[in-house]
Formats: sequence, C-alpha cells, structure tokens
Amino acid sequence: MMHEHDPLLEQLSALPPLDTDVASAERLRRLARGELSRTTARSELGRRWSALWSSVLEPAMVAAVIVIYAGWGWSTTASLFHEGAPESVVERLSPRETCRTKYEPQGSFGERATEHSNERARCLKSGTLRARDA
Amino acid sequence: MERAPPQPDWLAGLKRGDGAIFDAVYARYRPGLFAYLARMSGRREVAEDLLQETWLRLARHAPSLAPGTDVGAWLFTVATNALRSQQRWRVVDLEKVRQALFVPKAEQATPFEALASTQAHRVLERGLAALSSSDREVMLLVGVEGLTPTEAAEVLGLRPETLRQRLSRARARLASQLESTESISALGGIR
Repeated sequence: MMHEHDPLLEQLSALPPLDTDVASAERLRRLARGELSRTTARSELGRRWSALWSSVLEPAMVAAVIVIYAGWGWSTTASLFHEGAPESVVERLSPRETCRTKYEPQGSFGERATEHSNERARCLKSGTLRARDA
Repeated sequence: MERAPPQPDWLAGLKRGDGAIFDAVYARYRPGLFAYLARMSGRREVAEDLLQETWLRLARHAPSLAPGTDVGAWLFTVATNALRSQQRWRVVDLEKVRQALFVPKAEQATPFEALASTQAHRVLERGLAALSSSDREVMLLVGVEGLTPTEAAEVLGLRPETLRQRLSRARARLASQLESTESISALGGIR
C-alpha cells in the first residue's frame, strides 16, 4: 500500500466507517439480487437463442437461399436450352459446312444460346457432328 | 476496518448470476462505496440513491463483464460516473458559485463529523469536505478506501503517473487545510 509510511493517509484510513442503516442495506441487497436473477435469466435466453441461430437456423437459411438460387438458375438455363425453335429458322441458320468449325454466334446471351442449341441439334441430326463432340 | 479480500471466483459467479457470490461482493464493497459517495456528495440521501444506481448497474451488466474485470474497481468507477452525472445535472453548483464569489465555505459541521469518534477524525472530515471534488476523490479512493494508485487511476480514468501527481497535490492541500484550521496539534503532527 502506498500510505504505509504516510501519516496523513494512515489517519484517513482510520476514519470511522460510514454506512447505510441495516434496513436500507437489506432492501437494496434484495432489489439488486432480484435484478441480477432477471438479467441472468434474460441473458441465458439470449445465449440459447444465439446457439440455436448459429447452429441450426443460420445454416438452414443459407442452405435454403442456395437451393432457391440454384433452382432458379437451373430452371432458367434449362428453359433456354430446351426452348424449341421453328424448323425454318434452323434451316436458315445452319449450313452444313459450319458444323465442322467453331460456331461463334452473335447477339445477346439468350439469342446465342438458342442458336447454339439449335445448331447443335441440327448438326447431330445431319450426322456431321458426333454426339461426343457435341 | 478489515474487510474480506476479493475472491478470484467472484467475477465468474456474478456472470452466471450466483446469488451467494453477489451477497459476498455486496458485503465487501457496499460500506466503502457508500462512504465514498457520502463523503463526495456530502449528503446521505444522495449517496443512498447513487449507491442503489451502482448496484443495479452491476446487476444489469454482470453477465457482460469482461474477463479479468476487477469488480471493486468496476464498482467504484460506476459510482464515480454516477456521482459526476448527478453533479452535472444539478441546476446550480453551489461550490462553483461560492468559488466565483470568493465566499469562504461556511464553517459548519458536515453530517459525518458527528459520527467521528475523536477530534482528530472530526478535523479530518472537515478537511476532506473543504477540498475540491477532484482532490477529494483521490484522497478518498487512496487514503480512505485503500485502493492502490493504479486502481484509483483506473477508476478515475487517469494514467497512474497523473494520479500520483494529483494525489501528491491533494495531500499537500489537505495538510494545508488542516494547518489552517489550527488543528495540527489535534492530529499529533501529520507532515
């Protein structure tokens, strides 16, 4: 302690204690202890909710978002590649010679995908492109 | 007065809401906190209100106390902040008005002088009451409550070196106060 050799501080440490009356001290003890119990209970509830959220709910929600997004992407892609095209368009877009070369379509992604799908189907049908090449 | 020393499991017990440990902490620190607040505010009813605020704050924040928290220092910090907040909201600070008007403090007994058992204690209580708030809080924390300068610095939000300087100045002012009241003989020499 700092005031081991300081007479003034030693005098201060020897001052008589001040305190509340017994009834007030006991009332405050009960009040604060009750508040502590309530706070701890609320804290425990919060801790359990946090554990449930991090171990179950959050992974489940992430998985759900991934599944929904993947499903949407799959259905969109599938609809693009399985959309039927009029035969006249296939005929117009698919000269036999282009089946042996790399097809480089122009236009938007939707148009290119449709055209590429139709071209591949036509090439397979005509026998100029083997299935493994497609 | 010797009080039970702080126990290492108090923090963990408070965090999990252990009532028995809360009682032990309450018994250990309530008298010191009340004495500190009473001597700082100079009014028993204000000290009781602030004491209640301090303990309720502990009850509400116990689960979120950081590991390694010194419960005693934490309580005195909360009490100090509550006291400063209370003083800030007082419409008129009589001490500042008195200083501004160069009016000497009324020579009347503080409520705690009546409790002093000896003349020396009465003189000390009066000398403490005459100090400024910043001097008094340092003298009370280190001199009366027995906090180390490091603990007191933590409570008051100061660096330890700054606290030591402030303690030195406060001690000199208190000694001067006691000399000016010609009570040095009653204390048997304090320098």
